[in-house]
Amino acid sequence: MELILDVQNLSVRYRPPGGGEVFALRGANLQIASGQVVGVLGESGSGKSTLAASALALLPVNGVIEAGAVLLQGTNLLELEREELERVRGSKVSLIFQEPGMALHPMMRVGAQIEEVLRAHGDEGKEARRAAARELLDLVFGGEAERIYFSYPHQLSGGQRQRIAIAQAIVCKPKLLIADEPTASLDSVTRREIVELLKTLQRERGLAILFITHSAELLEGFADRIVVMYAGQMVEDSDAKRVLTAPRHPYTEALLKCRPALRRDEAVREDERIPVIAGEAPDLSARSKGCAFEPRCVDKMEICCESVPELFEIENGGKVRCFKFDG
Amino acid sequence: MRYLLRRFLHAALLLAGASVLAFLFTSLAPGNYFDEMRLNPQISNETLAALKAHYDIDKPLAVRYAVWLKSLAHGEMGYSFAYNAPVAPLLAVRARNTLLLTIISTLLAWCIALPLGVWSAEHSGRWADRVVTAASAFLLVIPDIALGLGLLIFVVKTRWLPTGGMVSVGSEGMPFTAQLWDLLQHMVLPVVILVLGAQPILVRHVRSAVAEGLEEGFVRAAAAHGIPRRRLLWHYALRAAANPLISLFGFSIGALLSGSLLVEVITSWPGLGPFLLEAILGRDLYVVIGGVLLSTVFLVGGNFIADVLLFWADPRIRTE
Amino acid sequence: MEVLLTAENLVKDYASRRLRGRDGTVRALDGVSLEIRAGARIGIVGASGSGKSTLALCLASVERPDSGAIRFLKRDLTQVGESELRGIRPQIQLVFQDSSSAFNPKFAAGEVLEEPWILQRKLSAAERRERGAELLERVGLPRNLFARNASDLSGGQRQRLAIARALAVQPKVLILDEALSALDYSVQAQIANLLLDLSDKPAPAAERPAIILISHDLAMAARICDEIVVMQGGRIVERDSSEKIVHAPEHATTRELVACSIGLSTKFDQRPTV
Repeated sequence: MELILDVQNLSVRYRPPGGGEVFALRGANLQIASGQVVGVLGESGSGKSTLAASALALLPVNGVIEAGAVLLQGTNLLELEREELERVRGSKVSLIFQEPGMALHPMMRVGAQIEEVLRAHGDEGKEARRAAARELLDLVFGGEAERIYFSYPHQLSGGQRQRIAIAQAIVCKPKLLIADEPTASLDSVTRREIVELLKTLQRERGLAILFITHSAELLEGFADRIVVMYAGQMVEDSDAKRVLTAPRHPYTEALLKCRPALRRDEAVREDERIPVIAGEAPDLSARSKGCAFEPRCVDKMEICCESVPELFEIENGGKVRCFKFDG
Repeated sequence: MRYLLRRFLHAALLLAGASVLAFLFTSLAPGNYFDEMRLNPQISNETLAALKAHYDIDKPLAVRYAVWLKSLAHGEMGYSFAYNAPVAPLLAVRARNTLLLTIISTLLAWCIALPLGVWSAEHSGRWADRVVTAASAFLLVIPDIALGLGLLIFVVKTRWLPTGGMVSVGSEGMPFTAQLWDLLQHMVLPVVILVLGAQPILVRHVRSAVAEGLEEGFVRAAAAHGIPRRRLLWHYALRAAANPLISLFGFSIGALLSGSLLVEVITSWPGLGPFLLEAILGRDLYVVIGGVLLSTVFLVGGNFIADVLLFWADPRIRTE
Repeated sequence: MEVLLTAENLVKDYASRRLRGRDGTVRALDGVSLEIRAGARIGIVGASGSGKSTLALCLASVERPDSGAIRFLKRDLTQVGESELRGIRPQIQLVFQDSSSAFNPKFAAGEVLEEPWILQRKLSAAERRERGAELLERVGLPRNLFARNASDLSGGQRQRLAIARALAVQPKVLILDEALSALDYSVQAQIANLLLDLSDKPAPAAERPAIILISHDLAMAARICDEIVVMQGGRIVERDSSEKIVHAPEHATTRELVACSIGLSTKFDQRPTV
């Protein structure tokens, strides 16, 4: 199976405006095969957005790549010049963001914004571009496509804007789509609609998708594999079904437990408190000596604060970064 | 549409108010044209009295305003005491001379400031940007008059350009191309002073508006789609900066008649500025009012043009 | 339990810039009536545009409805003058989704809390500091956060601070408008627990603020609240106990909402919680 994306040992550091340093990614590893859907599950500070930006070599000015490589079909994006990167972005790999309202230019009609992407990557004339944009809008919107083509972003709802962003991302037929929390600012009904749209596109175009989210329930029935991130590292990387039903890493388990789940077979309200993850979010300004999750872990052992665990292999090609699975 | 109508009404009201104020203030200033004449022993009191009556100087303010409004409706702007001629054609000639200067310098100033500001924003924080910012600050600090006089001295010393005026003596007899060349040579100095004077503010605003535009989410998203840098700068960031820049452009238009007084005086350019100055000092009432009103028309008009441009450029205002 | 706050037939229109060619007004509230009793926990759920936020703003007297009445302890708030409203507002407090715009970013956390007391002029500086520290503890923030700048806090900490400020004036009703939606799930769980603590059944009803949680997230609302009100197109389409809404939804909108809010379909072996 062809590897579309191969992130190798990527470490990224930021210098925030207030001073000091933040180690956003520490030796991140991620592989995505052609047509595969990989979910990245993580909370704020886990490094997931940095991972998404790095996959397109799109770091802000105060970000520094300390080490590692990002191989897109064999080419290391971190070594490319700006013009070469501009050719790759949007046409081989695309990215959609969390806030669709901010991702669209307020003064341009949305149809034109889709055509801009075509213009950047191809030589077809205006008519051909218009036709391609219209066709895509039909696919993504159905009946209202005509009216939406001429609209401005402020005339559309959040869900509609996200669909436009998706259209922009796939119009040049990339092999990989990276979605960074694409549904976080949408309501629960629209969320499912967007996920359904992505599922359809994935099926019809053989698109590989990297879906980054903090909502595990969206990945069910969608992701083939799930990678869990914590404090800039991958802590669990396994088959999706297994991660969601039998998580191995204590963080994954705690994370899945603290979400109140509506289930058809059990009572809704319990006056009991919801399980929480003890402690505070990790401090990213220092490299920890031991396991980053150790202060909050219910299973901690002595070795956990002394050295950083490796990614240990478990059955079926899965990996867990936890000393419980050593050897 | 309703938005534009509102803005137009607003502009019209402003103009009316300005005319009243201009009339009021000039009338309140002590003295009038004829008081100067009294110092001249050759003019008899009867002549003075006749002149005063002829020009309605002693009638109450409101009456004079009404009479003036009526003549304005006919296209006349009153009579100049000093030149003994209708005001309108006098102002027209001077205004034309000023506009020749200011339109060219405004266009030139914007044509330089836009690319310079965009370039500066693109290299924000690096040495190119710092050089531009420092140069702008330097220009900003130098008072216009010092800049003007400095350049004038330079021109006088080197004799590369004529040192003042609009045309050379005896240029009416020259063939057309020679006349044009002569005019252009005379324009260089005042235009350079005007352009240099306008640069710092324009460049600063363009730079900061574009730099802000580059930080916006949609520019980042467009970069993620592979939109090339050039297009991001001009088509995305600059376009988003339209609001503040259009307002600034409105000011530029507004200042077309009123912003060049100093330069015209320094370079002896026969524009509206020196003419108005002379009229104010000489209490030439109707010239002053006419000049002030004309300047106000431009100021208000400039603002209105900015409103129209904003309406066209920003869809959010259009759908309000 | 006494009735604290009632909305009677609220109607509110907004001008809108809809899709090209369909300009006009949008009816955000179309005859909404609701009753809230002391100590209750009510969740108002619905998709975007269902009117739930508008309802929250009207209940908190931030917006005035175009018609209808809002009665707080029998007084109609829509008929009351601004100065009288100012006395009533502390009793109905509102917490927003993004409280980073609710505080002055230059203030320290302590100053944010003290602000309402300073305006009321009832406490001395020392008393304010002590009360402030107590409040921080009550919402689960460490005392030493008192001096920390509000803009340096994390999202979850800011929301807690916003809740603390709301509690500072001892409200009878606490309205949370999507106050949890922007947070990570683990932080949401903590804030949810805080809300459960605040309205803990064992304490007498008079001391517990009534909690109104506005959310598009039915799962969280059902977990915290006793009753769920479902809104769509400016109207209340269903209202029932959380149990019934989740397991036997009647209205089509409710059914769709439940379907989109179903959590992971299978449970995994859970070990005892900490």
